[in-house]
Amino acid sequence: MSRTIDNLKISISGVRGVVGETLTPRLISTFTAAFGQYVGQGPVVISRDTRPSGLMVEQAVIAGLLSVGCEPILAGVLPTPSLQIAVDELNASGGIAITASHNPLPWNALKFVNDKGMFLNSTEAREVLDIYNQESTHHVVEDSLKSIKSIDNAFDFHLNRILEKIDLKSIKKRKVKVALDCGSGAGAPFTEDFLKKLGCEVYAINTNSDGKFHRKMEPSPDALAELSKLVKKNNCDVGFAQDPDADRLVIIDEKGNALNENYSLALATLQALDKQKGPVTVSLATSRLLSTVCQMKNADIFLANIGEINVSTEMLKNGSVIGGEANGGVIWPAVHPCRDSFAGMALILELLVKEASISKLVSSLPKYYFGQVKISSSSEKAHFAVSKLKTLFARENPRLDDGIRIDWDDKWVIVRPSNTEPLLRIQAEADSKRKLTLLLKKFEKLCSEFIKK
Amino acid sequence: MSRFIRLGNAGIRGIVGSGLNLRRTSNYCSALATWTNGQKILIGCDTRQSTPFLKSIALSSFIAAGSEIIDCGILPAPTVQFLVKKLNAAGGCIIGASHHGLGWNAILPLNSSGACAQSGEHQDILNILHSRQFKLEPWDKLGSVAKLDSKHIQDYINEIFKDLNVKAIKKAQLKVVVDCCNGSASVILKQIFDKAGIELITINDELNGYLPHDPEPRPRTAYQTKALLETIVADVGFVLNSDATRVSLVTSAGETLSEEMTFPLVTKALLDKTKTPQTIISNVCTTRSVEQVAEQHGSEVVKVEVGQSPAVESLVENNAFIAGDGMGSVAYKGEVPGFDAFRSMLVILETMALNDKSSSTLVNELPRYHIYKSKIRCNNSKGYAVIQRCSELFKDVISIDKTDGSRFEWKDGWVHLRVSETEPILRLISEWPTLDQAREKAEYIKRTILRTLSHE
Repeated sequence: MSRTIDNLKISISGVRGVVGETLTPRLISTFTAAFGQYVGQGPVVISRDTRPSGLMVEQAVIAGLLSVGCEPILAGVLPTPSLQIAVDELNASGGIAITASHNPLPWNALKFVNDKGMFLNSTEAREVLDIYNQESTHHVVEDSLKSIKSIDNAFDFHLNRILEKIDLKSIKKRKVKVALDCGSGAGAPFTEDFLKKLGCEVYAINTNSDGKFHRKMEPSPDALAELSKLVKKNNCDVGFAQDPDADRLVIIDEKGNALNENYSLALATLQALDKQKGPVTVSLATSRLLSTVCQMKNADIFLANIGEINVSTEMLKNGSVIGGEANGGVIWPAVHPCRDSFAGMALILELLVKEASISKLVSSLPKYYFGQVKISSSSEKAHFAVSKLKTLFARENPRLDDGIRIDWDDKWVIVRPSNTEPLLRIQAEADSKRKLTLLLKKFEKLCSEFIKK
Repeated sequence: MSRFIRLGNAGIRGIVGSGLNLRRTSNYCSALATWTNGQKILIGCDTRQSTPFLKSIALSSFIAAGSEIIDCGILPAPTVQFLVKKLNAAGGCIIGASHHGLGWNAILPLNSSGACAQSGEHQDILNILHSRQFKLEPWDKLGSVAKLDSKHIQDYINEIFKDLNVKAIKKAQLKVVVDCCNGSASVILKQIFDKAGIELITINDELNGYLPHDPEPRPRTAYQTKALLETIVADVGFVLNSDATRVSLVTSAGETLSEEMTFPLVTKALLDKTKTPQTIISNVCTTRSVEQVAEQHGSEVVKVEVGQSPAVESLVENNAFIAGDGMGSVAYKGEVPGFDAFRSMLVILETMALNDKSSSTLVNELPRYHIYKSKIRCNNSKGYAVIQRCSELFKDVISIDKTDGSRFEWKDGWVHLRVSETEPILRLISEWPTLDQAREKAEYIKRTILRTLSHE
């Protein structure tokens, strides 16, 4: 049997590893040097989330960038979308977000951003990987070394872009009461202030950014009990929860119910389509809720491969006015083609100007049941399982661009190897709870058998 | 081919980019962080352009190993070395190119006494480096970085003023020109000279790492100091290297003094003052002037290998008084375990004040020799053999000292041959009562060696 390493993942999504084991200063700096060489000898903006290991990773990233003649610009703790916007605004050559998003605390990761403020697509990322693997970085001599810069107002670029795109006057007049859970992540230093600038009355928790996490990293509905209580206690109109790098958003209705992450995109889409007509792009694993919303608003819907960069690239190609993913990732290209919890919040607040309540709006939409299962598996076994499914379900006319997605009238399932973790993911949706359970069970059993083989 | 990198008793040194590159430096820093075992350490920096680059590598490595880092920022080497022990640290490192030319930089490891790591300790660091068994802590046991509390700089200043007759210096109302070579010295220089009541005029005192001239204190790098000293009529001029470990003088008469003369001048000043015999540590390629000064004061000279580490090691071991070399460096008995140019300047100013003599007069009272330095192009591997052969070639020598390279002694002078650590050359130093004699002897030996080389 082949030996696998489950604490390091170097892939087109970047570098992700366990601090103290695989994510060593040398690995970080040499990989960063490969990225620096790829983007050329210009400025590169660096942000980090609030993880304690961020400081170590940041120093290694600085070293890697300097070694190839790039100019590191330190933005400190900053949401990932704000970094992407800062890269664009500062005309930088690229950006690096130091964040392992929702992964457990021992992990950290580097996400690479190109000069347009978008994550590297697979072609670009492969180039960087090639430079790294060939160890062909060219180290500059002393007089070509740049100095280290820092900026302390990088979030302002992001804030100003959003303020330009919303009806600030109406939102302010509505005086929305918001409960907020920053999850002690990169949104913590900014989000409460952001909402107050939009005229909200804010009740916030987990606003510390000292690297101590009190909530589960992933803002899945089951982790948001405290936020629910906060909503009810203060009679809030809505509750917002962010993930550790503040690119994704989860919504709680005024009754304290945490909504499935698909509703973040569905509600934002309702509002975005009201502001501007145009197509919508969602990832392959997104709920049919989005098709419904698009039908209601007479908008075309496109499906893109999973992964932020795939969705945002597709959006730019087809001129989508909004898009996103099933995980609470709302992409509003009017602000920037990236997942952005702040843009999501702004659209929901605008929606509340004309809607009575979130719960009423949600109950007016058809109900879908969404679920997922993860199976631990090496990358090799995971791909094997998917290829077996492709043969087995060939007659169902599956979509094969990213794992396998099979559609039926009343349900769909998608099975794909994770790009970031040693997992096989099975995601499914059906119009009844019973159908969903059966569907997930069936595919979990099938896949487990394939993996065992 | 030139050497881009040196990994040895003076830490890791090299040309940034080609020798001192990201991978090598990262591995070396991880080895260093493993060696200090994740305990408290100090990092001090000079002003070179590449220093922040090396510092970011060092910081990431030390944080990853769980070290409690005290970041001294830009601070002269002797101050950092003093503070390691003062703050009970397990060691640290100095990042800076010291006397090396443009493009070079270095990381100098310090042990728990603040001294440059000794040869056995270097072996330990290299063993860790070559085994790649680096200490890496998990996310919740990573290290931290704190800025040095500036009050500790005062502790260093108090230490170098301990035995000093400040009253006498103040009374003498001295006017001094100092060339800081745009290095780290100017961070604390003013504080020190203010405390001694000296009128200070500095040049090249910006912390930008731009080298105004070759960073080695030498007659040919002292021209700016000389010009200023003559214009404003100062009592003495000092030329420093970029981390304040070496100093050379420009006398009140405008003489740009060889850096060789710093050590004998300091030796005489201190022996005159203590009036008791002492042990002086010198090395095999340092002027005879030191030996004569010591002899006049009934003191003994112990000669050791070239370099800071052997000098300081032997200073402590022999409970000696001072340890110096021919490059303008002197280390002193006490709490600063390294070469200290601030202390050297203060000692020279003190002796001027106590004896009420000009710097020029004091220098002229010293036994004067002339040193001629030359190089012979030669493969490093061949170099060692060539030096061996010289023992047979020069039959009229009185003695040969093989402590480090070979020093051939004649009645009136000596010649020292050593394989360079950084270039494919043999370094030849020759000292005689006159410059003509020194040059003549050096050229004769160079010819002899070249003839030998061409026959092979």
